[in-house]
Amino acid sequence: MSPVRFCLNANNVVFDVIDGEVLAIRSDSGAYYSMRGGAATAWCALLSGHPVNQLAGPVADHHGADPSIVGPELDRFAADLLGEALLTLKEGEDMETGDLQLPEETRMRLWEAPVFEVYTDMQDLLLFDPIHEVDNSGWPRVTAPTSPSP
Amino acid sequence: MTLCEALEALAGEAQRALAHRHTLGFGPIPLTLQAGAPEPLRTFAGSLLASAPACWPPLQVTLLSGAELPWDQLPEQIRPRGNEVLLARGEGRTALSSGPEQTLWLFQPEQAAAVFWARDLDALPPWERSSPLRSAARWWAVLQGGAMVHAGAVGDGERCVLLVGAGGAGKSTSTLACLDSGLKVLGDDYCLLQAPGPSTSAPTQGPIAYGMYRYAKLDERSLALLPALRARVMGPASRGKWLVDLGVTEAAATSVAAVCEVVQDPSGPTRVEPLSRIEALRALAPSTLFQQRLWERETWQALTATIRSVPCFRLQVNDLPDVPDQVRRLLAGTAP
Repeated sequence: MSPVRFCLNANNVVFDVIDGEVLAIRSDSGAYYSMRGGAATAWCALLSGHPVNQLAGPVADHHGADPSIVGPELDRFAADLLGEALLTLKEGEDMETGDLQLPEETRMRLWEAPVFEVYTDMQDLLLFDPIHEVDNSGWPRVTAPTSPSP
Repeated sequence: MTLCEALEALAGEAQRALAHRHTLGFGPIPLTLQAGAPEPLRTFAGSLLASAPACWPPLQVTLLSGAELPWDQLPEQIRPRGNEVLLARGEGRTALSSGPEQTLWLFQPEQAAAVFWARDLDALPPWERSSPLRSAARWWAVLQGGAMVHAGAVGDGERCVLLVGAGGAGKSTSTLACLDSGLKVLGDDYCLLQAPGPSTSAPTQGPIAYGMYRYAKLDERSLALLPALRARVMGPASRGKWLVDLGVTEAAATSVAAVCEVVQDPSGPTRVEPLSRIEALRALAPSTLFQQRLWERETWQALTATIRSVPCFRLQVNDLPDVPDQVRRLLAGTAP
């Protein structure tokens, strides 16, 4: 069985890691996410494309923490990210992933379980005026007649 | 007709309507308005600030109304209709068609040109009259390495503070509380932002803000909190919003000194306190991006670069008359 790897849902997600915290925004749904605690390290580790089952050790080392504590918390965080479609499963078995790069600003910082907060208060901005993108074949067929109203 | 052909046809129609062409600009983008423009167009354009020393190349915006180009003469595939808001891209052109507003944008960045068609300029909603042509401003700013941000801006003529926050947080009201205080209000809701980076005169340059619009929008509740602003109200309210004249006539370049989230807090005095950059980004980015529609990634880069380059604060507002002094502290660098 192939190891589980993740990658960013790059079509719809922008993010930044600043001062050991993460903000991510899904431009298609109007949801945005604040992540604190050990989230910055965990986020970078999960986005690296390395097999998830090989991440607990390096992340724990990075914080001087116990892998047996970090591992389950990393799994829960990954499930949250996957559930919100911030990450997607990465297909393929033998992928070049390079060295695991973790943020310098969190090195040896006391490990805390990742805190994952979801904000949906601005979804109305998108839902009020949902945009449908059309392809080169033209406008989608709409059920309503093309009346000149309102 | 394919979508690309439809977009090309619309560009052609706009070109043929050249006799009705009016060239507009925003803040740092040059502004001209042809003599003899009809009155609805003059009112519409009156909200745009006159040009400042241009840092970005001009964008030619052709305005067309249904009187000049009837709805049924628009290419069938991109007519605004129903409740749909549709986005189409093809061969360097982008169209945004809004059925609810009966408007249509055609953006042609390679030609530095855009077309705005409105079925009836008199029937545009108040937000389109107070801050017109926002879509083109957003898109053009991004292509110049900047962004149109959802923020108020208050300064002293050289430096300014961006006041950010979700709708209803008190951003506009706090911004407008600085009118007539000796401070300069660049805008209550939107401003253009040049992201930090190299410039022609210096290897690095901090973020720069420009005002865009002459008018602000206020509801009755905010106007009751700031009764002195009634003297600045322009015309009758529309859909519960009043247009307030900021009294500015040009969009001067103003360095951004700080980003400040506005929150209402009746539990203590009006005050500022440090804020993490991520929290400031959370207050600035979502509402800016969700209105962007296109080039969100580039906009995001301009926002994060700005947040990384200036200190961030939270302004906890209780008494509105105390807001200007707190802004002065931020401008002077004496905030905690």
